Amino acid sequence: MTPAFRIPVISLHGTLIVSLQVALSDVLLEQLKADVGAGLERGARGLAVDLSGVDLLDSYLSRAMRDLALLAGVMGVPTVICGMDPTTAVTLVEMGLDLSELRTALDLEAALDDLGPASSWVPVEAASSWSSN
Amino acid sequence: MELELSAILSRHLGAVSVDAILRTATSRAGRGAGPLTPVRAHALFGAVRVGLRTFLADARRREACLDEVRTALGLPRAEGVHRVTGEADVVACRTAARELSASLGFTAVDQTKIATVVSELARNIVRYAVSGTIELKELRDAAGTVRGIEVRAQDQGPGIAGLDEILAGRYRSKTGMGLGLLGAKRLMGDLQVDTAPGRGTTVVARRHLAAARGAA
Repeated sequence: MTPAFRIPVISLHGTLIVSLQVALSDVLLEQLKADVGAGLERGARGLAVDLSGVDLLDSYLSRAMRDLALLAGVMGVPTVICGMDPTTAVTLVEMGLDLSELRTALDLEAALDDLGPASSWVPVEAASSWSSN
Repeated sequence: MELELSAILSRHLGAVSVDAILRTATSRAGRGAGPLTPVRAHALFGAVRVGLRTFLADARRREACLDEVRTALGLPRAEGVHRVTGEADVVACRTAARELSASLGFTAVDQTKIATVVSELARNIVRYAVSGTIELKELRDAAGTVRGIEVRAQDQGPGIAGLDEILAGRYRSKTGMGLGLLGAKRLMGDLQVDTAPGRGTTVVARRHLAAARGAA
């Protein structure tokens, strides 16, 4: 089933940016994985997942984040999760959910910094067309 | 919907405040044209609630205004029994939990913890029992003073096998099953489970206010 609404996957200077602003459901999550997968296939140097619009992080959403990072990881692309608010962070720690395998950053800006300078990345198609000029 | 909300808010607030609240609400819930899904209704309600705290100091008048907004959005009262039959209900329940815990005077961190626990319990119902109920209620002492919140999750599902292993943290699975319940226990402290295969599951979790305070 294709949801009427899908979470946008934005490509900016070679980084895929996903900003969660709505509560995730199974249908939305499957669509998001497919869209991120397709985005990674077109070429990306990193994946940034912004959680600043999320009301809370339960075990379901943590697992979804881990799945996204694993998906990007097996395709050779690093993931940084960012934008967690302090009450969510406290809750996660006290729940004992293990997120140690996830790279995290304070906000989207820090996540993009962490994924490396944009100028060092040239998309594959662009690189080949430039070299012919 | 925005027009209706605007009319309600205008009866309680000045035009500048109404404008500010609606602007935040629509930017958080996504603008106008879309259908009023439960998720959107809750996002709108949450934003209006936060906005009212800034612009309407009197707690009683705030509640009265919120009651009208809640009705207009077709949302149930936070306190009481919520039916859980799908993912939209999970969001509805945890929003209700946040709303009730906020009105009882819990801190922002505690609100998130309580909403997270409700999210875990409601999601377990959807995943394993298909349908059930979440009841939210305030805990009062003999003198009638609010002391905390109680969450009661009930279903007629298959029951939980290996409950002791799960709550002792000895249960490890790739699907993460059981992590939610263990997490909920860690967050609430006081959490009791009554379950048996074929008899369904009842989870009762309580959290007390750190200090006796009136509604914030």
